[in-house]
Amino acid sequence: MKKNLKKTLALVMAATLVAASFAACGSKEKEEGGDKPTVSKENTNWEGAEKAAELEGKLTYMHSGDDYEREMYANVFKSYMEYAPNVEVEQMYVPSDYDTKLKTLAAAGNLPDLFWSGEAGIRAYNEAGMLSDLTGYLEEYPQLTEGILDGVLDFGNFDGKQVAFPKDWTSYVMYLNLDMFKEAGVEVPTNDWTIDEYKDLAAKLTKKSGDRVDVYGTAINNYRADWVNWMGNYGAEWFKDGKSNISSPEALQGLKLMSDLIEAGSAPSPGSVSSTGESEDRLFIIGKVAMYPSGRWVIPSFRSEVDFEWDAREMPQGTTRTCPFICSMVCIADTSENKDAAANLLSYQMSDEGLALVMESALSLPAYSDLMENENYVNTPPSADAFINSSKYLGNASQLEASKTGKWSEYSSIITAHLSDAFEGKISIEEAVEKIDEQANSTVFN
Amino acid sequence: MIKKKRSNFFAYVGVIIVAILVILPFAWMVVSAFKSQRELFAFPPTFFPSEWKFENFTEAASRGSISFVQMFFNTLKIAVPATIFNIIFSSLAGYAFARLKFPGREKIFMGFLAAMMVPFVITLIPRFLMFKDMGFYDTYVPLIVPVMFGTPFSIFLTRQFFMTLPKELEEAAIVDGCSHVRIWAQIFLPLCKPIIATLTVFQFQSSYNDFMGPVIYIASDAKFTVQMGLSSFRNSFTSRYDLIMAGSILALIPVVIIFIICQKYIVRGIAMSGVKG
Amino acid sequence: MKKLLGKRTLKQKEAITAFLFILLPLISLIILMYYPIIRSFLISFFEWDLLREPTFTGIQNYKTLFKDEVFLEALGNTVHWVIMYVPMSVITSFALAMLLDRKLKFAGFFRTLYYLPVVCPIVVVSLLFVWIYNTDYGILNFILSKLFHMDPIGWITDAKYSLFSIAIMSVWKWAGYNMLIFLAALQGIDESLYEAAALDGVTPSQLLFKIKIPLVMPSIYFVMLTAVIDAFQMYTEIFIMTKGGPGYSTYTVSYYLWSNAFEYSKMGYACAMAVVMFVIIMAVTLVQNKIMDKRIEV
Repeated sequence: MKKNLKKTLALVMAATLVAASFAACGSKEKEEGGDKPTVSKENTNWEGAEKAAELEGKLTYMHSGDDYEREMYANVFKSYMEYAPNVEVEQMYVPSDYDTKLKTLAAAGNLPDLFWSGEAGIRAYNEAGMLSDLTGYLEEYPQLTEGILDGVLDFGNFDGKQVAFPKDWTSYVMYLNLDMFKEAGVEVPTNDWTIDEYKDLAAKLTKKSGDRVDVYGTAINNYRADWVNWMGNYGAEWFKDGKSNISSPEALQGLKLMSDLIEAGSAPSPGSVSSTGESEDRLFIIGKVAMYPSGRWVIPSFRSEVDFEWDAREMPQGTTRTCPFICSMVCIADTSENKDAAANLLSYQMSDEGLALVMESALSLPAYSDLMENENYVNTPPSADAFINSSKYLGNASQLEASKTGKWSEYSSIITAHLSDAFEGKISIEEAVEKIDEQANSTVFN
Repeated sequence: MIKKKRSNFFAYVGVIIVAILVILPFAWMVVSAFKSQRELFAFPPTFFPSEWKFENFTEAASRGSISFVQMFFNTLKIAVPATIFNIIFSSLAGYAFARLKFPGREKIFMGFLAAMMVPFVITLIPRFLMFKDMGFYDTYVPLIVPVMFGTPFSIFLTRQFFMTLPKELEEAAIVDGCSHVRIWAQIFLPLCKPIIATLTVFQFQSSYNDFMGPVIYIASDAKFTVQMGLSSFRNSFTSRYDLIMAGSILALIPVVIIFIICQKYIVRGIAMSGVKG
Repeated sequence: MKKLLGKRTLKQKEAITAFLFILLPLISLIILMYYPIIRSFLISFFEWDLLREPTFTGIQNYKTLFKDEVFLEALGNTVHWVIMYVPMSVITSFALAMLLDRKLKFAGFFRTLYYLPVVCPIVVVSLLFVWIYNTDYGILNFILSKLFHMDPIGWITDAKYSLFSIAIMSVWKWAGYNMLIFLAALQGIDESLYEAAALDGVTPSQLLFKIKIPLVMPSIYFVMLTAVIDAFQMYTEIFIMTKGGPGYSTYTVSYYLWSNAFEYSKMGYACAMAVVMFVIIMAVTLVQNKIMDKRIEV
């Protein structure tokens, strides 16, 4: 018995090795073929090409994400090095615990030349004097800011100094299961729908058998994008004068929409892990949710896994409209010895050519208005209108102010905790917002 | 005799019931590794995949800038020296704490124990600074050295085991003028095969499954470990469950082999019966 | 006189050998553990965001800590966890070891089987159970509803069950680990003792409580102590499965400590937390030590 087991294991092991080597060949073929835009130095429209040829040195670029993103950026660096043969770009890909690693490196004074940071994390690095001022480079490379979306630079701008650059953005839209609309005989909403219509639709699309809900009309995430969006669509100033103001009537109205949907049975109570949106994504994919709010990042998995007709619409409007800003920003370390080369690489990454390599995956959106209209950068399905329209009201004053306090993550964990109690029905939403303001203003923003 | 048979019958029943409980989540993991991402979350769920996707394994093994096999060998470079040296040094220290008398013994031992109670996060940065200043960033040294000279856990475990052995064991040897190194090597080590086997399994697996350490200390992807490779199937928004499950099963194989080899030694010490307790 | 001196040197020799045996582990302990620990202890009197120079704040971090409701709740949850998980885990693994501590056919096969969960990386196990426990599409609720027509239960989304569900997962994950320690200890018992017991006509329960348990007491003590320590350090499971929620119901001390250290950039505060946690575990250890010492002597 024991001997057999051992033999089986050895066989499995051997099979794995063989399979692995075959697969390695397969992936190489994929790289060579494909219809990716090819680099051509002669007719490029990238302004930094000439300078790139003169630069030399070594750059380290640190980023997070999954293996797809690693491959995507490996391609960006490879094509950059064709322009800059004397610059060696070392890709430092961090598969998990990115922020822990970044802080450890920073504490050790060992920051890579270029690195990513979430929009709310930048202040701390800036105050420690660890970030280069990019303002001069924005003048040197005018294409960097030409046609850039309104407001996206603000998150990386401290006291008039641009210390971080938004590499892309991700809108927040409502994904629709069109088959369910057809089945229920309900008309598919247009982009100018309102929150009231959304509530109605959510109730209509909910299917129950007895007490049990088979299909939910919609879903919510206990996640910052949802909060910012719903509060913002009622024009709430939920963060004001350095204080949490979530108990203001407009903010409450926005959050109450979320708890009302749960109470009405139109949306499942979100798990606390939905701070990543992950489990709720699944509900849409398996056809248990008809309308699902999320960012552009879900599109690759929806495309490969969803087996019904689906599309995206703008988030329904309340008294106004807002779109949360969620993004990784690129920073250049102040300790970098090759800042010119680093800026040149950044300019390439943000060029039409560099972005083409990244946007093909549909994980995020380009931060430039001309590229937003270009279907090579904002590819379909789903239809691009929702994304294009939302770029016009991107950014939320309260989110900007709260992010730039540098205490966002602590603040957001307080919001998550009390809202989850409210969504579970342990406390009312009115109590929850009071508790959030009280706790945040006495412990975080005191 | 009959009594013994009956008790063995009940033992078999118990063993099989437990086996089923243990195996259920694990089986779910295995069948999931063969499903397409679409079928994985199908509702109502199906147990067996409608189509067995062996490609999940090849894809999991070939993703990443280096192959799974390379990551596996990288991980061995950490786990093998860490395990071997850890066992030698820990069992020596465990022997000293269990069988030798020296001033401050209890206090020093308490000092080892106390170190177990400090969370890793607290020592992370000072330790990182130290290794970085010595030029060991992006090497395996910071992952091997803290383990190889014995860890409080292993020392504690071997000490507890040595304490259960009868005193008469070394008394005769001491009278004969044997050195303690010889007593340790020739009397104690052969007797504590079970605990050495246990420790091998524990230490190998803890080095092999560590993901936070490598993520912090390793920079270049040519040095990636298996667990880092597995992490790369997730980003902050989505997980490729099909690849994670398939990759994990591939990653399990070496550890299971080590276990199968080692568990044979977790049997009653043969020499024991000769010594009267 | 001569005899005394001779005895002394023998004693000294033993002491020197002992110090040589523990020398390298001790050096490694001092440099790699105690130096960082002392630094962290000092940091607990500072405010430090990891990036700028620390500023001295005296005992402010400790004062804040004892007024911090989240910390107190996390501490309560951790104690709750220890009381729930430690006995469950120790008893399960001891039972498994007893079950396998006999001459069974396929014993090696079953051991391997029981050990399988231990081998799986904790990240993967956590992801797997998040999915098994999912309220809407998890396999557990699916099975319960098919077999017993039960309504879906929010295993990890309902504060009533969340900590318990994680405990069940941890027992599944770690039972094999402690089983192995017990098994090694049980296999170390001298067979002649069993033979003598059989001759004396000892009942199975007497054999268990009068012979087996007292003899493997050092291992039981070891397992209990490491289980308590692990309980205080549990982080990955929480991070992946619940992020501390719903509400603060699954915040544990170490999860809150991690959040403070790296997410909130309050390293000084996190260090103060580690000091308090250390004092608590140390106290538990000393009490356990006292009780165990008595039991071992008896």
